[in-house]
Amino acid sequence: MEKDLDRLLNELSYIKRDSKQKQQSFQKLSERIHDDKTLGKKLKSWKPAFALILVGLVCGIYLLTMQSQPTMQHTVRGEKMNEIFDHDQSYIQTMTLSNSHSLRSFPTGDPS
Amino acid sequence: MNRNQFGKFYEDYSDSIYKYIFLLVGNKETAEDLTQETFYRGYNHFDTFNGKAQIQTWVRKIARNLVYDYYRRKRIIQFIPFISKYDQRDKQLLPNEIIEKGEELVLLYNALSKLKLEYKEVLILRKIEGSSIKETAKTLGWTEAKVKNNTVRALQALKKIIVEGGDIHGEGFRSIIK
Repeated sequence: MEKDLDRLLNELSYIKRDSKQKQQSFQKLSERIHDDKTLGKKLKSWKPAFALILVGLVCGIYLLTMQSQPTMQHTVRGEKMNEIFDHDQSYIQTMTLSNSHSLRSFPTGDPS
Repeated sequence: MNRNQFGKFYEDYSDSIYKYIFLLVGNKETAEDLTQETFYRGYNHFDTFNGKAQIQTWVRKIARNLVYDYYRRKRIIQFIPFISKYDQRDKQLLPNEIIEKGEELVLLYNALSKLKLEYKEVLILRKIEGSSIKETAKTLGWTEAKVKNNTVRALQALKKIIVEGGDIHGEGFRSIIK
């Protein structure tokens, strides 16, 4: 039995590969390797361009996020806002409506 | 490695690698795809080959890793209902190369495919490919003692599958186990 099994297992090694399929597979493999090489070359030539775009992008973001000096218009607007807040200060207060749980409760101190 | 060298490299080793993968995965198309991938990786990483082992052992190791990856993917795919149904249908197809060799071999092939991957590998390398214990140990990353032990165990498991029958009922096959 042992020998028969060994013989049969050995016979499995004679399985033949489809030569047509083998040829096609090799063809595909060669194309794949060739494509990789050309893609690699293309990427190499594009490398400086990518670097330039990246640098441009970083500079753009930096310029956009850079703080500008306050202008006269900004200052006037800010001062006006402060004045309004100072005037309405007594009416601006924290109202904790969630504690009341009732529609009948209203905040006191109507500004009008 | 230039185009001519690679062509020779492929010509020399691709058949044996294909056979190894084919017996492990049991599907012609998958075996062809994995063989292609093996040589693609071999070509791309040829500079990492240090020459300590035979080049065939090195390529076979790449093939083995790819087969393991394939089984890992397959295990994940089992959870996807549509794909797993398709995969089951695919598994039932028996390669023509085996059918042409006769009933005995078909049944042995079926019994072999029921073995666990570890046993299948060691039997393919030792008994089908005829690799030495040392070479097998290098390919599988085992010790030589483990190769010996697992060969014996794998043969026992194979015999057990044959004797127990499972779905093997062929007359031709019974004649070899008597």
